Amino acid sequence: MLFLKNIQTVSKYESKLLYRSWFFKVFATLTFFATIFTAINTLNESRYVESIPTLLGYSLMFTFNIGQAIVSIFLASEYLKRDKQLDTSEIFYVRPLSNAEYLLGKMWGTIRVFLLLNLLVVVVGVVCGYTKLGMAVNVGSFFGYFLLINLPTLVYIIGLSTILMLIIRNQALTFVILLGYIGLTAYYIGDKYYYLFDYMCYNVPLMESAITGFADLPALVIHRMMYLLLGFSFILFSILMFRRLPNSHYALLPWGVFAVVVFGASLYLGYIHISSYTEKDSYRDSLIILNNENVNNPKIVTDSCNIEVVQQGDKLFFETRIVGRPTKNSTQFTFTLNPGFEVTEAVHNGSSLMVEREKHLLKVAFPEEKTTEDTIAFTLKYGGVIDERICYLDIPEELLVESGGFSKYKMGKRYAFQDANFTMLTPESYWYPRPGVCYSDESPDWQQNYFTHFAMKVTPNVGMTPVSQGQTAMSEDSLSTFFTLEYPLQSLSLLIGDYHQISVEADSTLYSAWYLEGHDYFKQNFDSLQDTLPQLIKDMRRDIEKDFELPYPFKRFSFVEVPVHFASFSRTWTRSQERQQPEMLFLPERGFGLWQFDFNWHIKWRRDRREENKNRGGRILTNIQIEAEVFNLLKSLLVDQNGSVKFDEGRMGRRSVTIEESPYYLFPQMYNFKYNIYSSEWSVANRLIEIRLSKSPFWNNFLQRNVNGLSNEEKCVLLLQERSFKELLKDVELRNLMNNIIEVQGKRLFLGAEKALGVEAFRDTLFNYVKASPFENISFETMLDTIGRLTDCDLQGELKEWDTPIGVAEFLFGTPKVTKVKTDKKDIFQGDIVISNISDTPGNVNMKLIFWTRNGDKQIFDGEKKPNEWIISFGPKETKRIITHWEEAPNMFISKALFSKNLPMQVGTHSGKVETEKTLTPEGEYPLSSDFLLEEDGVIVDNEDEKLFELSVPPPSGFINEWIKKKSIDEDFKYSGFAEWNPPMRWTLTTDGGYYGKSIRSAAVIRSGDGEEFAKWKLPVPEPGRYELYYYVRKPGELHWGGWHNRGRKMYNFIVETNEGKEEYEINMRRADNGWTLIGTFDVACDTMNVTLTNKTKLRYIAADAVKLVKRKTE
Amino acid sequence: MSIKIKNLNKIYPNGNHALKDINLEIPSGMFGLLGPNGAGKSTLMRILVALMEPTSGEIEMYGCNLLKERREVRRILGYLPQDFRFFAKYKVAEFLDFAARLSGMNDGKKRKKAVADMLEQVGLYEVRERYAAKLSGGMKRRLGIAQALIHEPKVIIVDEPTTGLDPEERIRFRNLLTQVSSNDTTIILSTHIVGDVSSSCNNMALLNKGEISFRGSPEDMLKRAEGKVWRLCVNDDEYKAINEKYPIIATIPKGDMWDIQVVADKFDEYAAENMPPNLEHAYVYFMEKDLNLWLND
Repeated sequence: MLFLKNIQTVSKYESKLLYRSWFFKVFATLTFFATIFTAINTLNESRYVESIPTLLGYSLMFTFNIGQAIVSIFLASEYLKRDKQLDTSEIFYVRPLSNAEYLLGKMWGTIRVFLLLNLLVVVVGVVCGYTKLGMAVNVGSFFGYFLLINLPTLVYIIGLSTILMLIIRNQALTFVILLGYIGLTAYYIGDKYYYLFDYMCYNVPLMESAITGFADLPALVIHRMMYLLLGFSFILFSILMFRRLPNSHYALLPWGVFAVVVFGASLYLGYIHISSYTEKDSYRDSLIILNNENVNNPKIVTDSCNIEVVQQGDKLFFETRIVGRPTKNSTQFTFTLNPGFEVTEAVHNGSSLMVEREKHLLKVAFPEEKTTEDTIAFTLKYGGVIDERICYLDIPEELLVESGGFSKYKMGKRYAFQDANFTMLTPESYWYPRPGVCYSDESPDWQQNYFTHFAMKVTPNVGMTPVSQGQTAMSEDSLSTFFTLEYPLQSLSLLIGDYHQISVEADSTLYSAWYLEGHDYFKQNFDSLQDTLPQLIKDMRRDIEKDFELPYPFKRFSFVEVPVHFASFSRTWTRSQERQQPEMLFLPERGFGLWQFDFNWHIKWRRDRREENKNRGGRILTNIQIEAEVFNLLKSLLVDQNGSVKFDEGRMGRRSVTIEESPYYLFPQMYNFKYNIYSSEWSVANRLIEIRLSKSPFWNNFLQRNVNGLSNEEKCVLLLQERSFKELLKDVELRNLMNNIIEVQGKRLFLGAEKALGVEAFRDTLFNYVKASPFENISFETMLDTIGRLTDCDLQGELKEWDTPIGVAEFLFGTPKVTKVKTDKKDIFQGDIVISNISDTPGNVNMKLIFWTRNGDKQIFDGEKKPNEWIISFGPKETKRIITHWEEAPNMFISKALFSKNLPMQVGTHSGKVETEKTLTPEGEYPLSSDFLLEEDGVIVDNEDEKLFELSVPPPSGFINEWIKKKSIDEDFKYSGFAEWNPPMRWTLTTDGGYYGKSIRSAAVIRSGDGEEFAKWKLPVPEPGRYELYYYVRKPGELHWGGWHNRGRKMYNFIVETNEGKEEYEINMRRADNGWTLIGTFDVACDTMNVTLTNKTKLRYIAADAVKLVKRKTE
Repeated sequence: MSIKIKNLNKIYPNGNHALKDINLEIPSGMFGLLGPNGAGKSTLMRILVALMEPTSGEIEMYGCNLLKERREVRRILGYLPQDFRFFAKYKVAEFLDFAARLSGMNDGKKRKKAVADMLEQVGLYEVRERYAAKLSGGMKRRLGIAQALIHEPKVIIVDEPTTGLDPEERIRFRNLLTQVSSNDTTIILSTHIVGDVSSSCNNMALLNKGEISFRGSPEDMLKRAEGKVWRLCVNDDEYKAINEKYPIIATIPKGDMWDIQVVADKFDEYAAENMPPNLEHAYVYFMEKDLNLWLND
């Protein structure tokens, strides 16, 4: 008691001191206002807070925690600094209290001050929340997040700063070290090592689902307990290190033991934390190894699958009858079933079958051999609780662990759910036996899909409703639901929860929204739409089908609400993600994170505009029109291909962008769930055809090229030159590029056929071929043969090239010219461009002319439609002049050197001033001498010239920066992108059509400075004489930006060194035009002229490209 | 004897031998510890209040072994360090309450009364709600002694308590200590101001260079200096000559002459009159004679 009393006394007076310090008063005031500000900000993003009511608590406690972490290190070290004023402290040190009482009292005093501030945040937050959300504000979440985020952080950082202060004995140094530590853990180390170092929960996923709670609460508790105990152990160690004589010789011993025990406990929790992930990882590896060993086992292609499910508490019990055909003659067949489910019985023709179970694999043995001609039927009984570890074996652990979410809201990922209140099982969890093995990294054979006739009966817990594919019917006793399907499917999903359905039937398709109890917020938004909804849906469907050029194949379509943690990944072999299943699309609870689902806001915004319009006398929308507009926003979710676009800052100022596929993009419903291209050798076939048929978003290449320095397509061509397609397909590191690799290879495969039929006609042919075989596997090889015969191409022969790296051509493009020729009938515009293949490999150029006229892409010539895009083939070392005739003047020539060394692959050139000519050259391709475009006027040294061009070497960058900044896959490429507003600190090679180059139009760029960095060109001078020196200018984008900073002279500074010595020259970049720009005229008598460009400029960066020396003609 | 010190040694890690085999018995009442700066007074004080561990030796305080039973010793101890500043943000009464609580006065009512009484006693009751940092130097020192006395300790150790105080405050302070010492309490007054000891201590020790060079009562020390203090008038040249040989302890200008006081066993060379010594004379005499300090310095 005395012990506690003493602690209480010391803490009371310690906190009194803190309360009275200006530091506390300032911080408390800031906290108060910052909390209000953050609360308002969070509440303004109402679609987030309304979807996840605990988000307000999360947001406020999280934000306060950052401030608290910084201020507490200052305050914690403050009292030790105070104690250094020895005489003052000594009057307390001579009192009969123990060191432990004194120090614990001091720390508790500091902690309770922060507890009060935490309480302030809670009170302010709850009040703010109440004003906006009313009773919906979740008070408990504030305390929950306090326990998870703030308390462990506080104890840990106070313990750490105390012990550091005792060791270092310098408050300023301690403060700086700890600030660095905070920055390091929050921003640099971040989520590495499974969030182990994230003591203040900056990256730890903490978002809670209103349906299923936290994604992984035990892991969260272990992580936080680890820091709580670690902090506590530091406090205990501080008692040992405290510089005051203890009350007796052995007084510190128990504290020493206690400190070691607590420290050991926190280390143990850290070990449990890490090992829970590593064990999961090694378990997943063991599954893959098992799959590799069994990937070629005989399997039964399932024709029909009848599943009976009974839910009992949090467990599920299944009885599944499978009918199918063996792929090979055998007595034993392999299936995959979730390892969490225990198989109790397998029955065939009334007798039990032997089932060998190894983790997730089931090997069902029959008494006699079954042949490929046999149809086998057997029943399997199993049950238990799903094991999520089997999901996404192909996805690297770091991606599975990486938190999702938006801005500061970090969210864990879940792939399957099963408890008494909510169950969600998608095919990825293998909740019913599926033929063969799951993911193997050695053989693609596991990927094969089969269409199966499913039927299911589900008996859920009382009050629960099952949701799945198919027509539903209730059993007579109303306890079970039957699901029957009119068509075969590749897979089936099962959800059980307190679901409610709202549906509309239109064109004999049932459109439903399945929402969980209490989540029907959207109903009120569409009150007026009751009668119009079927028509709106019909119209939307028509638009989407037109967009995808494919009909919706099913009789039902549902939006199904699922917990916010449910995550899916894009796969290399299919466009479809688990978020989408036949007939259904899973939406995060209450549409969290999807702007289209913020119905309240959209409707209010439109109503507000209506009021404004009323006053202005503009167009007035009715309620129905407004609601219809808002409803139609859903379409954008279903047709947008791109999901999130992630920008990453790499090392040394390099940047990269990754564009993720949207899991809501509806194309898989129309294509993947209905068609399947099957090849026993090339499982990529299905994906290849799918990509060929879907439209890729046109701006992705543009964005990638601008940010990454290379478009994904260019990267793929570079990769394919070094490694075979087959090899690249296996490289998991190339995950983000895989679609593009497949797309490039798809283009290559069908290039000949496309040339033969024309771009559009070929696409139609491919579509028609696929459409002829719905709900069945289409043989890839047969398809190639058929299309090959039609186009006179050996498409199967092309497949042989998939085993070897590809050879590529290299093109030079001349400056295009457009002339006007008056003929008897009309004016004809003649397009004229010279293109040269300078390599020994044949190649193709995709030429597209752009017309900024009324007709645009729909050009008519002599009364007939004339395509403005076509492919031109070139033999080795072949140069051609291409003449085309048009009724309108083409404004731009876009030449894309397909599968070539060219960078950028695509170059757009304006056609310039149209001149008039008298004679018309007939349309066609005219051969020219192979070095036609190689003849250059003068001596040019480009940055690609390894011998005559050199760059300064900047000092190495900081160790921490090097160590921690992510090395992105982009760094494997020679060229990269950069941000003009934050250019790289080191010379970085980049490419752009605006730079000089023969086939590679590149330049080296670096941030501007004091002139310490330079690029140097050594120009060989052919003979003494008077020369003009030119620089190839590409005007930087910043000259087009506005603002005060964009004034003043923006010069490039050169030092030119000749026999007459060094002289400085400059080019005014603001006045210069793109292209060759004169630096100056020189009398040169030496054999080399050195031109140096320094980074001393008021521009943000300089680009070192090419210089040209031209001899002046004698007058 | 209330405090017994046996063979006490303190050697600092840098090799400085601060206390050399100290043996001292201190009875109850006021005890003065006199010595020049750097004599080891503060080291001895810090060891006595259990803030520092001696290198060797033993200390017994009212029957408790200081080195083994620190908690017990700390219970009976009151300490006023030499130069202590207050935490600026405590009020006078709060500060005293804090000290009282830490000393084990857990009964709220009693403590409140004790704080009020103590504030009355040291004359700070009127300013009890004032922040301690805003008190005058003398008030601060009184608050300092108040915190040392609040729990009625048996041993009170005050280190250089009157430095920097005006005469009135000094007298008030001494009286306060004397009052306390009348109940069976031991007060150790460490000081280099001879007047503090002479006016309040009945026992004293002289500490120099880590050794006890005198132990007895102030009267004993005075006796040792009787007939050794001389007074005379000298000119400049004489002054210089005397100053080189003897310690001059007072110099008063008198026209173009100097009226000086000298401490010496014999002073035959000059015509000087003998005068009765005070403790300061005795201190100087003692230092000069027994330790030969003056001239060596």
